[in-house]
Amino acid sequence: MSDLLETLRQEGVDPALLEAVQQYRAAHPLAAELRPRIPSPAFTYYGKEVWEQALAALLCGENLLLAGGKATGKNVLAENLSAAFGRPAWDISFHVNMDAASLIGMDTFAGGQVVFRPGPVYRCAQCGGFGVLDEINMAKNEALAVLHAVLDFRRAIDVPGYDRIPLAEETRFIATMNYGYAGTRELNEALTSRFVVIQMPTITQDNLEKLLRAQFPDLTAKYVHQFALLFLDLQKKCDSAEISTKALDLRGMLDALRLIRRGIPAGAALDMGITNKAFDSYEQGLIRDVIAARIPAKLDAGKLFG
Amino acid sequence: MEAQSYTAQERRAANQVWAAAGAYGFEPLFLARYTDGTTDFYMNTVVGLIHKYYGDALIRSIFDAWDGDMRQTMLDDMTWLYLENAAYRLELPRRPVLEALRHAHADYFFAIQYKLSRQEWMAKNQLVYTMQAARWRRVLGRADPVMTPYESGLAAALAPESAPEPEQLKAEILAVYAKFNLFDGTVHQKAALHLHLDGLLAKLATKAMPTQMIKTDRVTVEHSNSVDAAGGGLAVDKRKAHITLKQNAAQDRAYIESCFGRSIYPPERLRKAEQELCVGDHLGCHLWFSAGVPSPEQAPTPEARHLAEQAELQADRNRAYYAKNRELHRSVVLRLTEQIRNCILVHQQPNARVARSGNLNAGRIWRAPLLNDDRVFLCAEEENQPAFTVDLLLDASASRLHCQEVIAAQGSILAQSLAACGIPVRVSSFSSLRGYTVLRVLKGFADKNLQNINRYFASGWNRDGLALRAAGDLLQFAPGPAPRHLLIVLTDASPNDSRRIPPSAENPLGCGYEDAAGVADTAAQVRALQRMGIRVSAVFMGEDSSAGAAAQIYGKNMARIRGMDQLARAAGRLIQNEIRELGD
Repeated sequence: MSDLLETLRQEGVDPALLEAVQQYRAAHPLAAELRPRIPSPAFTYYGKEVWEQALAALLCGENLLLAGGKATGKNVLAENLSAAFGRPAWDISFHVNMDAASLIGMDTFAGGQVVFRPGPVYRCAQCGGFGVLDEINMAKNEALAVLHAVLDFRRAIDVPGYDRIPLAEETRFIATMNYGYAGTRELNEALTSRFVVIQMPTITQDNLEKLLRAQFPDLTAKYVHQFALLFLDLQKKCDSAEISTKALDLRGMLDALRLIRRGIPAGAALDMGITNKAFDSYEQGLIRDVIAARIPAKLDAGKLFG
Repeated sequence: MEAQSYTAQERRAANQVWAAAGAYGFEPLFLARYTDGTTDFYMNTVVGLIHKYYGDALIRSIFDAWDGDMRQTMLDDMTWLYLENAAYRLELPRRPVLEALRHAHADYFFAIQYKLSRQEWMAKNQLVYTMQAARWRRVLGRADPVMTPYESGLAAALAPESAPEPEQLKAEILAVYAKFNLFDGTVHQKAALHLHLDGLLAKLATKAMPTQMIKTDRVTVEHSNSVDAAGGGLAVDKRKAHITLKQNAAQDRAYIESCFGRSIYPPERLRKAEQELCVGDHLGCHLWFSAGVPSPEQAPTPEARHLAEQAELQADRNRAYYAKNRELHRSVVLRLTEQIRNCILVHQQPNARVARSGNLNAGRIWRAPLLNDDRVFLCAEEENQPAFTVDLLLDASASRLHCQEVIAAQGSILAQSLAACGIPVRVSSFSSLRGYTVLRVLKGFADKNLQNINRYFASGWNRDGLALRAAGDLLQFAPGPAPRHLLIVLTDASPNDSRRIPPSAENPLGCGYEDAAGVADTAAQVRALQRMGIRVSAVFMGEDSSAGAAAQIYGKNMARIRGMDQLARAAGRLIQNEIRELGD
């Protein structure tokens, strides 16, 4: 059993599901040249219920839509799922000017001839990979219409002027979306109906503490608790729209802890990892106040790591 | 409804309270600030923790117990010492950093002593100071100051070993004050001096003393602080208005021109607008479109000169308010700009541009072999032309007297954000006097200078229906550089004018332009503008009783705000809706 599946077993994820994943892996071996595409996650997603729902959905052959706010672990889960199933992953980051060509592929001009250059969705479909459609609701709905046949029962890509490519059996798509985030749009019904949707919960204090302990096994219990609460304090401030989501950055908090370990005082490290990500000085003041109410600015590695 | 608007420092203090309380859905009862105006981080944290452990209702009832008492200030200060001790003991196990914060606060208490002025020292209550000094010396691990046995006993009573349960808190505090003879449970007020004057004396007093008159048909510029916020819109003086209305039309016109400056419409165009718009419910009314108040030097009459001077003073106050909270305002501008820009990016319809990769353009393919030009593809290009203009129409009737500076600041914020996103914006204000509905353009579409928005002041009545008609006409007269228009009205949804609705077949007696009649007329004007293709949205700030009227007038295109400091954000949301609807 892989390390990740072993961790999931310890987290209490249904053993029957884990067994089914093992069988899936055994039944679908992967060509050697695709192995480097299997992600090796730096973080583990914690959350038993979400894991069970996601594993069950993918085992049933469904595509997954992970909907949730910033720092709910959507991408971590997507990456973890590819790793758990042992499939190569294609990360496709959506943006406002995304069009069908950037997904499926486009014509290009090479050697005096128009040739088709496959896009990531095309490659993923050929190789039976997991396509991570990141921030899917950033793109315009008309650009996404090309995915309809890929995601529903037809499971095929039909590029006008070229062959119809059936999806490899193992292919799954995991989309992520941050609903209501500035710059995003409603996902249309036709596309949404082609996914099963998991509403990603905000990370709980328990899971946050697990994550901190996994990343920093020597972090003292007192500060594991305080850093977890700090993150939740920032989350509340974002939810109430007093600060933007720029400071709600779990990665940034982990980076700050690494900096403290390297000898930077806590105040400066948290400035670098969290506060300075909001470039507006007033907002920085509000963020610093939240931090000061949990973590002393002069705290150093000696007191933090036991 | 009182306008709950925070300055930059107050908002920061409120954030400290909310963060400590772990909740954001309440208005803090107290905000702690040092004498130099900066926020007292530790005490704000304590205020938040007290909310968390005891709730607002209980704390309010405690402070209400001696509200109005001669010793109120002293009792308030003592109570905060008591509550600080309770909050510290309850929270410390969950928040170890509190110890360091408390220590820093105690340090600051003694450090600041050398900087206090004589007046500040004199304002301090000796007993409170002794109690505070004792508390903070103990926190710093120093010996207690020299105290009488009474003072030692009180200091100990204000710092019990364990924090009381919520149900005991009030009784415990009152018991301490009773024991030390500070408060016996009955409020002892300082006798106030009341004079009742009538006749000649009353007339004399109203001449000599400050008085308040909210709505009249005479232009006055009042300082926001001189007006009771709750009184806005209530103290109307229509009797005086009617007397003024009997004066002849030429005088009224001259008066309006002297107060608001020349009309930006040529005379012929103005006459045409009045003929077309001042009909039906607005028969007999007049319109005036101006670009501002003349300077005191240009004012033709002494009254107009006085008004111009007062308007300049208000503009100075608006500017000072903006500058004082510059940091907070800049922060709002940045966030609003970012949101609107994001929204534009997502919803714009890109143009196609010739490129070296993208979608093949069959019509150009011949260029590759013959001209060796490989730009035979089309790719998306961002659109640079604005798709619509925004007209921000600010209610400038006297009901806005108490928040003129905030409105001016919010107008500037919105204008800055939209300008940064390349959306043309015009800011105007409207009010009605002597039958004239005056539309003052504070910032036109082409104006780069946003300073003129600070010339906003409130005075007179608000005939919303006619103002909306006038705004529609202004959009035809000066439509701006985009084909579609969004009109955002800041309103309290209480149309109210001194000029009555004239008798008609349906309403033989006519009626006052207020309440249901005013609302119905305004709602009809909104529909009329919508039929003209202008999208009308409203930012509503007013009484709960007017909320129904606001919904009747503006339908779903409305955002309600509780404080004027939310105006720009609410308008931003309405603009984003517009962008979405344009794009999809």
